[in-house]
Amino acid sequence: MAVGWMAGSLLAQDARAPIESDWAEMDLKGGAYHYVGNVRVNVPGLLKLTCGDLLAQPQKENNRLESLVATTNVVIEIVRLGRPGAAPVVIRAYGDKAVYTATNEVVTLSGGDTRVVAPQGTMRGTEVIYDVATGRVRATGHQVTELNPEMFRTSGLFRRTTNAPAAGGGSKP
Amino acid sequence: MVGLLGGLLAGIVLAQGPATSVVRNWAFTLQKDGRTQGRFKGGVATPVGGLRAFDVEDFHVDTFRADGELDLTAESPACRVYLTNDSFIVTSPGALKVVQAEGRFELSGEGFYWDQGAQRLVISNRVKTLLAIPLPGGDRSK
Repeated sequence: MAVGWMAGSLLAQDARAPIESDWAEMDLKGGAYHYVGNVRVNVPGLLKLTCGDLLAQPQKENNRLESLVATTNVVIEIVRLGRPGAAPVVIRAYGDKAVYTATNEVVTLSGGDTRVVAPQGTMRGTEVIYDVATGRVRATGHQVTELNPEMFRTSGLFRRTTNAPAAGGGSKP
Repeated sequence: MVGLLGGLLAGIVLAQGPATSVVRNWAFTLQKDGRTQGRFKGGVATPVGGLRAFDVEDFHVDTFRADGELDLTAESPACRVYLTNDSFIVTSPGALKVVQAEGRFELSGEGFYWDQGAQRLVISNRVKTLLAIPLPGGDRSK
């Protein structure tokens, strides 16, 4: 076969997103791609996504990717660089639907059990918006945030004296 | 027009003998409205049910955009090519590999239905795609 499969001809300024699925349909004129069944996207060091259904839509003017719409059991794992010398930070997001818009680099998660799990804590809401460029997460409407207690271990914020007897102490008979 | 495609294939077949003959190492160009739509070549082509369908081995096609630039290159080790009134359909339970010339995508899979007239490609099993996605923080002006 003469076709250079995975030959590295993709645009240099783009990430190469390997997408695997059971079934797919391509609109060769409009440039839309529809993946169904066990959809897996893996951009090493940047992004992993699994879902049941994924629709990729291009920009009309230049045919480059405009948006990704993932539905059915969406799980997104985003890797961000941590502090210098520290391990990368992994952020996981769960929802019924996720929409990634390439032009503003925003992921909007929605659905019944939408949540974003980061080392700092978990944010739950009916709609959670994650800005890929800045790393900021915000929720619209009712939302609940659970902070990781480890964040306060060295803060002194909750350090206080108690009435508990000292170790080994107690009254003599 | 696609008549050229049919005519060329038919001509190739007829030139080799009866319409049921097997043709080897064939090639032809599909033209429509005065421009090249595709260049086809293959190993063995066997007419199926007349001259509107062919079982093809080592199928290779290059398709071209309206501006004449190369668009897609596709290959399949074995498939059936149907000639329609104004285009063609390629289908197979076997493998397909497609590369988009500008690098927007590359894909492979098994079991496919490609309707060039409708510009629609369906792959039924084990789909693998490399899709170009703009990097976060990258140049969005392109």
